[in-house]
Amino acid sequence: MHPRTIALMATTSLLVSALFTPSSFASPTPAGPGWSPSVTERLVKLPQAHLKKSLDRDFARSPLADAIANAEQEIQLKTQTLDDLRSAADQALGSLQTELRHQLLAEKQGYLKLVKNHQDLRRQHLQKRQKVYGKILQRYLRARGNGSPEKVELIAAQEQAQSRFQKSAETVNMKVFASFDAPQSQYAAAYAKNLSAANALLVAINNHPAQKISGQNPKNKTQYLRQLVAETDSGLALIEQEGEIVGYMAKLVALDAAAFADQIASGGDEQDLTPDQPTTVTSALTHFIQ
Amino acid sequence: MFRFFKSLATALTIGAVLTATTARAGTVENLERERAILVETLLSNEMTAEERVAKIHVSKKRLIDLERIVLRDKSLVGRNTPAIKRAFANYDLTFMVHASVEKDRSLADHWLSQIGLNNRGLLDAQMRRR
Repeated sequence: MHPRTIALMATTSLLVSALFTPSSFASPTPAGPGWSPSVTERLVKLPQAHLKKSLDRDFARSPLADAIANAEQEIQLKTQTLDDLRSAADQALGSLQTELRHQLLAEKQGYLKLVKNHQDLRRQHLQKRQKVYGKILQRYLRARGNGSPEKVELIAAQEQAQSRFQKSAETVNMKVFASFDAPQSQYAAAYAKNLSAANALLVAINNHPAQKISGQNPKNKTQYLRQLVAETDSGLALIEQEGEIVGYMAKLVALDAAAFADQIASGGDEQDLTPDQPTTVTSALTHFIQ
Repeated sequence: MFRFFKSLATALTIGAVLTATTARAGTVENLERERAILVETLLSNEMTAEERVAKIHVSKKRLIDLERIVLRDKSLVGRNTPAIKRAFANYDLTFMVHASVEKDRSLADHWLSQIGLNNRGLLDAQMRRR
């Protein structure tokens, strides 16, 4: 058996075991490119339409965002290399073909390492984002008084009083000001005047183009923050699933390497590698599925 | 220039949020003070019926405004202080004028019933030495 093939098989097996062990889904090492968003008072108080944008902007400026973009670029380049090598191996004959197929296997292994690194970076990003959203939600709820049962009770009482007042305000106006010989108070008159001005402004705010963007999101900020947490959760779940796919790919590379070694040992030419397609984990599947 | 406008827009947005939540102290205390004056008027023996009616009339007008100010005060939402907690624990006692009109009762009747005294109870009461 070719010594390089044996080495390739060994490293691929190691990669397979690394990808399938649960530790591969744990948070990546703190070293390397990072992003440390801080949950400031400003961030907590930002309207929901600007909250995600602000965090996105902060992330875009971080070394972690650069690292993810670089990793994506490297994966794309590696996919192109895989395409080129595959077509070259298909056209080559004899020992050159063996050499090219060997290189293809080595490049596949390199591709899997890059994808794993990319997944680690994305996981790191989403975990941080999830943490930030969680903290903002906590602080927002605390600020609204949802912290202690006493405050919850008080807010409920205040809402109840408010709705009772809204229901009876008109009746009170009718009864009181009809029976009183004096007209409405200065406060009541000024309040009514201001209310109509405020309503006109509210209509303008609701019709503002910038408001339309936030209109797609839930009206309640708590709901919106919970939605963001759920979105990052689903992002993390997808990365885990992609991790499993990469694990299967690594297993296939190991099997390819074993078959290739057998083929060389028997001197036959039965094993060939399949067609091609570029980018992302699932789009690179054809490089791995025989 | 673009960045300037962007930061200006953010600052204005934050400003709007902050001004909307500016706390205004003392609305509950003002209401409590006026309510105490009204209760004192209801219980006072040192005035004629006409004087009492005139004073209640003035207090009622003032209380309507004060009750509305408290009910519309957004800075009180979730502010867990003893005075605010007590104020919202019993709507009928705190927002006396609104509650009495809502129930179509006189102010005095409403207040007495809220503290546990009604006409039947008062009529059935006997004067005894303790």
